[in-house]
Amino acid sequence: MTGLDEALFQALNGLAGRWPVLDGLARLVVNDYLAPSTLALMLVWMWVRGATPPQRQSDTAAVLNAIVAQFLANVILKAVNLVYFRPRPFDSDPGVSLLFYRPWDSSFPSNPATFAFAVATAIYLGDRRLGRWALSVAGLWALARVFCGVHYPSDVLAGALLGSSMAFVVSRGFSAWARLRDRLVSLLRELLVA
Amino acid sequence: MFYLYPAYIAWNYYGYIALMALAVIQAAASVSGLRGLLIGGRVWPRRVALRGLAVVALLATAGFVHFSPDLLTPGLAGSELMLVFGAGVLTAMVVSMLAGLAGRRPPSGGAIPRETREYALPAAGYTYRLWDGSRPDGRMVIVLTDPDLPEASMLPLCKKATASGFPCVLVQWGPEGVPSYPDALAVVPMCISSHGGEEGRAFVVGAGAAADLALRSAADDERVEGVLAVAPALTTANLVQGVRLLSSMNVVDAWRRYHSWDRRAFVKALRGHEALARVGKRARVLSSPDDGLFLVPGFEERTHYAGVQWRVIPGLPHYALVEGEAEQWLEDLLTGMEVEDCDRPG
Repeated sequence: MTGLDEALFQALNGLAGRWPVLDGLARLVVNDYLAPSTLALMLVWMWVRGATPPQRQSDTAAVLNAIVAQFLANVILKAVNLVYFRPRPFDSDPGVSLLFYRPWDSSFPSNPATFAFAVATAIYLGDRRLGRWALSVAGLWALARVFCGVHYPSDVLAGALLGSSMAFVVSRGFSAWARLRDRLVSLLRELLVA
Repeated sequence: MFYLYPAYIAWNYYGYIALMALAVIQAAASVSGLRGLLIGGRVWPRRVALRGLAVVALLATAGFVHFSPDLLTPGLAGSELMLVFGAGVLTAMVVSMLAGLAGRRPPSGGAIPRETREYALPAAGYTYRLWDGSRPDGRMVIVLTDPDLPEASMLPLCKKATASGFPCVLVQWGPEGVPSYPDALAVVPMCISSHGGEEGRAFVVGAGAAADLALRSAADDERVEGVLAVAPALTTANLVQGVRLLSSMNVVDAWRRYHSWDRRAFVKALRGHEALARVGKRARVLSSPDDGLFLVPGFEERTHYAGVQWRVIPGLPHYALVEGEAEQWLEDLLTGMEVEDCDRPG
């Protein structure tokens, strides 16, 4: 498994530093600002756009699911970090082509992939069409993290699984959360923000 | 503790998010018809809105990347990013709401004519004005204002009534809104008895929640010969809630409408959908999908509302229905004319 992980990492990261255009695009995607902001702005779009009460109900539920899912996923990620530390690829191998700064925290699981897939999956479960765009952004961001040398493929895979599973659980699994969410939406309606 | 270092990236990011969020909110509000959030109050076609959003996104992203050369160095922490993102979205929302304040507002209706007589019944929770008529048959028109609209907004209908020779009573609610159920049911019978005498008859016109009161009054009182209900709720399911109120008003008016009195309890108690069925062919209803879904659970509308003359006019806020179409329908009601091409809900 580790061998496959290493091989995949070498294959992707081996492409870095060869074509300036590809490197530039990867840097555009990999930074801490644009991809997460795009996903969060999709939530803003969902929050405002509902033209009918059923659509508005579904959209607000998806947005709140995304917020709670990424929070829970982040809690689990921090817990994993407490018991397991995996060095970054550039710490283990000085030959890695690094197109990004050197994060100091654990490589496993990928924090950006966890956040991105929690939000994107929650969007997908609320709106398949918009969700496909969101999953594309999440996937590109995760891929760019490997390409730029800051994560192993297994890191982003674990993050994606963690984020997505939290989104599934929150969206489909918690009836108590669904009741709480409906109350919250009612309250927000009275404040004219939902 | 927030360090927001480097500060220039924090500011650039704030500006970027504020601009992007503003574009997203404007496009989404345009797609969903939330005029109260739109700059200039104009609803753009979906394609135009999405293209505009794409152009702003490209330019804003290019500007942010160009003016922030340190994007690939350690910068804002995750919690700081969330803070700045939230501030940017909040800014965009406030700008949208302020811009929406300049949008369409309910009509003031102009000045109240001085020749009317005003009757104040503060203990009962309302006042009313009376225009004398020239008809000797004891028939009159009673106009019930929506509690969240100024009484002058119904003036066009009063003028139409008086032009036809009918005495007209315009009811205006006190600051507490419509008297609570069942006290509100006394308003129409009291007006008929006070100004129509023993042989008194009336046509009743109501807007919004007052339209539900008009229908219920007609159902309970055979002296009501006809009803014109403008944008009635009929059931609480039809009451527009939350941010959807911004489709027909700005945020200040929406807040007032939502919080001034308990519209939901009033509509629920009146049971307007049952009253409408009882009123039958005496009723004419004007409604707009912008004011709700017009779902009446458990009823097959065509059978249930047999005889009701109903017209649905999409794309108009509830208060705009009072103008134009309602005047013509009132004239038809007063002259006993049938409406030729009326719709049915559902």
